[in-house]
Amino acid sequence: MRAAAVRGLRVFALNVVVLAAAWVVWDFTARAAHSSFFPSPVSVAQAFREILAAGDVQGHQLWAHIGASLVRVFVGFAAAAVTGVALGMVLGLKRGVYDSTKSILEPMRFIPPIAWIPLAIVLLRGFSRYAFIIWIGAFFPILVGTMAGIQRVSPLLVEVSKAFGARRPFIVFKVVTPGALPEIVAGMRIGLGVGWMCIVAAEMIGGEELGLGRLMMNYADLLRVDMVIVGMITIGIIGYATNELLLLLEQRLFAWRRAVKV
Amino acid sequence: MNRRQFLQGASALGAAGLIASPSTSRAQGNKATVRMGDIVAADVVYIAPVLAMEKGFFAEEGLDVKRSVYANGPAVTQHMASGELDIGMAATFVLLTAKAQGVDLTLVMSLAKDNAPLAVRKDIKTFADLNGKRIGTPGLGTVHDINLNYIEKTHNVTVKHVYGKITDLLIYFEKGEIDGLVGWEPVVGEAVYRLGAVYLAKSMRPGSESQALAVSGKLIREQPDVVLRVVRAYLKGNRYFEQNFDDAVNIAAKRLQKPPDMIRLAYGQVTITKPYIERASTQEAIEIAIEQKKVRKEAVGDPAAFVNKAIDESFLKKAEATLK
Repeated sequence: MRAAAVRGLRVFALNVVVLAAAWVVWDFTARAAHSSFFPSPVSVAQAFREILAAGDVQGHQLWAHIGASLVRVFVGFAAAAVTGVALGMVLGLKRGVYDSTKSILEPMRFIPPIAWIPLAIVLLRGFSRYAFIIWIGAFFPILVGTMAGIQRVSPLLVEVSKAFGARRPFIVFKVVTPGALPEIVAGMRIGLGVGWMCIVAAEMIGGEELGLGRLMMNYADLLRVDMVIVGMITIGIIGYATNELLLLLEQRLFAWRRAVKV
Repeated sequence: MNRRQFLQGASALGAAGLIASPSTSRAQGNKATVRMGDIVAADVVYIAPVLAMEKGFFAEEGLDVKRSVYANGPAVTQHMASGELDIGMAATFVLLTAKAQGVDLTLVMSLAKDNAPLAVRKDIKTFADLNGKRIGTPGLGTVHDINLNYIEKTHNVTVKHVYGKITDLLIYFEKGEIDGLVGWEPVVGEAVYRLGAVYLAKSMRPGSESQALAVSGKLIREQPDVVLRVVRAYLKGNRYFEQNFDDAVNIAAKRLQKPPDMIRLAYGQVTITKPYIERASTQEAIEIAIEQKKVRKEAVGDPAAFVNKAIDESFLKKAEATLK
């Protein structure tokens, strides 16, 4: 317990040192560049204060932008999780189905989410556009993670279950699914990261005033690079926080798995 | 080959590489390459350089123009800031905003006036009817958004600004997601021509400044003769438009793949042939931008002095004198 606390403190201290070093390097580079288009960390900190105190150019608070983006990301991610896991289970369990559909699935997997933007504009409306772009970004990592997880479940577990008279539904839901969960959750973490990366592209579509991507586009239009960086850092912090939440969930659910140490 | 010969050869190759580098316009003999920033679907408004390209006026001036097209004016100024463009076309207000933020550019001539029409659904008859409506604009930093701010201010209404790429705004309008749009021609004209919208306003006020040509400070300092040649080619395009309106309409229609009637309708909202920048409305746009916090007052100082300092019409005067 004590060793864990010491280790935790050391990790925290090292991260503080790394952050301080990054600040120094950034500040040094900004001074060397001496350009309003390469603001220093102090300028960005002032921009943070400005937007927290007075809102953006249109009077919207940063929290409103964060809330709008969070809702879009989570709706798109939730849809991707449900559809990705469901389809991944089917394709993982029925190899033949995957083999007969991969001529469509695999090429689609390689189409970048932002390539879908023109179609999203024409075929969808409002909120659904954003949710769709985030869904398409998060869906494939979750699908592939689920399929890989299913295929990696030990055949021995399945054989033993059968030997004890287990029926197919039991094997699927009580043996295979728990066995595949670690890879499914890993796929979700990757999918969530891709979903956050898509938010800027999705909100560049326009159509709404709120959103971190829209905030960044608006300030890019005004050549306020300091505010653009405020948006970037905010996205980074929230993405990091949501990833840590998923990691915590993963550690709690799968404590029975030993981490590999080299 | 000994070491000295090798070093001499390497130096010569390096020098040749620098001379051939595309990082900046180079005048080789009489020919000069100029990197131009343009905006999507703006061929009606930027008809002068279109005609300069189509009718060979750039070639006559010994200019090889490399054209890059961007989504809106702020995107053009972003690329001028990075040094990728020698000349850029955008709203006068946008160019001045960029200058206030430290982009090294100078405005050398006007390309269009008015050109900020507001088109709305048929049931919106007055400015008062705009209250609470959703109006599409091509970006927070555009003069069209400023014009919408001006309409809100002078008519005491509040509208919801919906941002998007200008061509996407047509789709939003068609699908009923917005009640109107403000932007440049001929896109707004297409909403009127094809989608049943009606013009509610032509611009802030008649004759107000809209679009200008900006040149990088580097090009002005290092190759002022190239700048003069660029302005001469633009002026030739302007004069051709004035004297051959029908041909200009057909050229714009062909480039934009739109019917000539729609282009003619668009030209009802735009004034092309006055190349001197209208300063009063330009100053007013900057003042509104300061009010709206789109531009910091510290960066501009006195708006009138800032506008005057940002404009250099000496090339235009010389071009007019040499083209008489």
